[in-house]
Amino acid sequence: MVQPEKARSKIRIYMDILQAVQDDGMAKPTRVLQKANLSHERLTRYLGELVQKNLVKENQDEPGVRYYTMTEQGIRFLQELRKAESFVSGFGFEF
Amino acid sequence: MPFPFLYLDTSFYFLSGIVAFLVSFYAFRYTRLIENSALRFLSIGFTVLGVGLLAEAFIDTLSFFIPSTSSYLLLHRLIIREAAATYSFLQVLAYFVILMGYLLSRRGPASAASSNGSMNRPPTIGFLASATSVVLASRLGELGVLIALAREIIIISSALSMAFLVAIIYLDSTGYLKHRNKQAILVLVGFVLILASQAISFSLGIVAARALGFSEILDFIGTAVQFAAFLSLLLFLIWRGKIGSTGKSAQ
Repeated sequence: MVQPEKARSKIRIYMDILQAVQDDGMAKPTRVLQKANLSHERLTRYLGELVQKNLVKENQDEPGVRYYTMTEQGIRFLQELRKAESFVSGFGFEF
Repeated sequence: MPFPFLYLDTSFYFLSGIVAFLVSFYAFRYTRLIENSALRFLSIGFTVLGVGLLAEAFIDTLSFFIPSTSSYLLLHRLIIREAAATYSFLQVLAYFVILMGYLLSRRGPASAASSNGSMNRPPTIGFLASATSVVLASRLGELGVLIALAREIIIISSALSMAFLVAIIYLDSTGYLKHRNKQAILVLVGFVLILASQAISFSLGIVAARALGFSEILDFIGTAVQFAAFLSLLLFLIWRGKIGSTGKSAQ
């Protein structure tokens, strides 16, 4: 019998969003949505939190076209999260 | 000097203690970052191990200054055995706390994040247990009784530690099979080597009274195996640190 996947923790979702933004450099919300595998509503909420924490920056060059970039703090935070992930999974714990 | 390997033995305890504190430090740091209570248990467990290892190194160093002439030989053996008994007791507590962390992590990230560990006093219990045994046996007025009592503590503690370690290794290996994380092999090897050193301690407790020279060699081998286990954990910490800074994912 196939067991259902456990829900991702909030920090895991943050990490997936930050990773998606970093991979794209200038990430559009639809791209982040696909990569982080989130609904539009949840993505908007989490991106808002990340902007508020100064981990990603919201940019708008032309009306209606938004994209996100990483801040210095976001890059450092993602790096720390990667280290935490490898530590946690090294001990076989869930992240 | 009772045994030529004693300096090396003490160095192994000291260095293993430093590595245990390093693991504890990172576990504590990431507990705060990712709010995972299972990591808090890991941090407390490795702190207890670190305290035990450094206490063992300290008492071994102290024993250098007690002359091992015939009149002091029993006292010398008593100090070494009491230190080993205290450390064995602390190990039981440490592995129990670490096992609790593993069990908590199996309940999933949400529950692991919401639970709170409250085991902040295990080292005190270890020292108290050992001190109580000293007081009780002192009343009997026999150093030989103390040594025998310490030996009993080592045997029982080693057996309990081995049971907890088998459970930890089982849970750790299921975690490894799930994540397939290459660095996890180092942690698994670390725990397996610690289990091997516990098995040596266990057999040491059984043979100690019969053949002192042999038991000292066995004691040294056990400490060396345990040091190899902590070296494996140190390699894991170094490898893990490189992954974060080069921007690679852990899996």
